[in-house]
Amino acid sequence: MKSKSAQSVELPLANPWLTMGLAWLVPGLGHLRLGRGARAALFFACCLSMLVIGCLLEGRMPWAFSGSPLERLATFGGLGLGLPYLIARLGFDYSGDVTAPGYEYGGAFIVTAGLMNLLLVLDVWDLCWGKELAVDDEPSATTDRDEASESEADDDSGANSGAKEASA
Amino acid sequence: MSHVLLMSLYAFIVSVFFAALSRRRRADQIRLFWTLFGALVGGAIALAWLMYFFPSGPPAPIP
Repeated sequence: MKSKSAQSVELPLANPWLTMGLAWLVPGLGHLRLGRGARAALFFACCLSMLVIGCLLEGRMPWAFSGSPLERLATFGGLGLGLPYLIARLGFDYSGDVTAPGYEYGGAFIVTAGLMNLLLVLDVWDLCWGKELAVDDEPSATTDRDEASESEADDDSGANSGAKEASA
Repeated sequence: MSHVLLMSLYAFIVSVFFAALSRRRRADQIRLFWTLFGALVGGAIALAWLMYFFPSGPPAPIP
């Protein structure tokens, strides 16, 4: 049976802000920190391949902090990719070639990579609080993970509070 | 690379990403992947065919 304090206070599994920061910095790093290595590798590959394809097409890499609102929005989306975007833009001075045929098409790849990583950051936040975006198509079927989480819930929140103390 | 190939590549990566992000079981992930991939590629081809009825006409004069 759950104690009264466990019912009223939700405790994160890991430091959410640090994990979100890591997830933004390198795609997949937040999931890796939460022990989801396979997913982390897949997300990293997806985001990085989008960026590389965009750069190979000499696509547009938005970098505008004033002027057109749409351009600023595209910059925000691209910056969602974190360190790889900053390295390409500042380290390699990459901005795309406006005369290249893939300038706009490649830009779509690059901005999409950033937006995908922003989704990963939000997913990491949920995962830190014990929620999961991923669902099953048939909710009635009980998976091993469901059974494990149910047994953990039955064991009260001792491990959860331990993780909270460790992260604090 | 052709536009169709690039579009398919884009659809492939986006579909893999969302299938892995929003489904837990492998079978569900594969089903969602094909649904998304088919919707993206099929939708784009369908839209392209619809544009047949709206020809662009001669290019606009340069001012």
